[in-house]
Amino acid sequence: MHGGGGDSNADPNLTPLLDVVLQLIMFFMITVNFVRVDHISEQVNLPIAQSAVPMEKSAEEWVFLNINEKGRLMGSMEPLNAPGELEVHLKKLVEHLERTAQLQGEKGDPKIILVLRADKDVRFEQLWDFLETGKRAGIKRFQFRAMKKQG
Amino acid sequence: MSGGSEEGGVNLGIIITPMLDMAFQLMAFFIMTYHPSSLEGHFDVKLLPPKDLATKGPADPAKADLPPLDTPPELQDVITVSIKAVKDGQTQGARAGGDADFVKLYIPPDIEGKTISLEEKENLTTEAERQDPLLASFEWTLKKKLTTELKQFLADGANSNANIKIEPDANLKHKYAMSAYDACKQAGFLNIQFVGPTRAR
Repeated sequence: MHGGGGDSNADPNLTPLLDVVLQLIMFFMITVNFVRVDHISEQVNLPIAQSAVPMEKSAEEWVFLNINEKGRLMGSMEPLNAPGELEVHLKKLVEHLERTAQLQGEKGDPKIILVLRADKDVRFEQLWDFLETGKRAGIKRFQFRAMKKQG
Repeated sequence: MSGGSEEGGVNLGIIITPMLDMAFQLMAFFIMTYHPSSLEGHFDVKLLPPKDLATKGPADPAKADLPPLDTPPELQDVITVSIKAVKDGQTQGARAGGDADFVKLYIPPDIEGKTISLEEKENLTTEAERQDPLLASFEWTLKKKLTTELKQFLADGANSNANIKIEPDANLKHKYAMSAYDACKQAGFLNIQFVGPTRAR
């Protein structure tokens, strides 16, 4: 922005300002997307279920559990593999969301969905233990993830 | 970013700034739209402890997280799909421990149940079908056979609002439970619940 010369040119140059704004918008949009991808562990080989419906983008709270073929948590939840750790973590999360909902004056249970991205070869017994853990922590809605067709 | 004349001369230099800007925007667009899980889908899981459905239908359909029904589901509406697994350390045909052994389908009032064997795979006629790992798999066979049975049941006048409970063995692999769920959905049933695993018998 220069205002020199004999003739006074008072128009501000908006181009660099616009560039910076657009880059900032892009940055924030990309960052949000990366957080979503971070919930997904590519090491998990999902089963195929053609009747699975496309993922919905709602404002509800999601808790992702990536479970490998041995029944162990993968990805960001990996440190919670020790017995009881996951339940404690989920309980804290549910309590935190309940408090937040109360402060915001919302009524009813927080809409938390426990999403199980389980490997196709994990034993059903191990999967059921994760569902039971979620139930004990106060979660009432569960989802299985599957591939709609072979990837 | 000016391309005009300066003191009579013409500036013919290539202006790359807008081109670079556009390139950055395009790159950002493609990074954002790339999503590795685009083929992924989900379904809601309804869970019931084994004894609840074994004895009776939901006590209060309004509170049972089920679509509203004209009549409450009765015991005779509960269809059981029990999937038996090959025990660990054993081999049955081409299947090892954790793979599905057979499916037992209990459609009331038949308490004996119908056994769906997975020994015979469905007829794969073309070479391309035989080479397809999914079509040649046992979970696909399970799904096709179970879908056929359930569709027949609906064609015979059954209510598609009937409750179906899927009862997998404890050591059954997850993919077979998913195939059974898929079969129930594709046959046209709406109320599908998973019940706790039956421990190895």
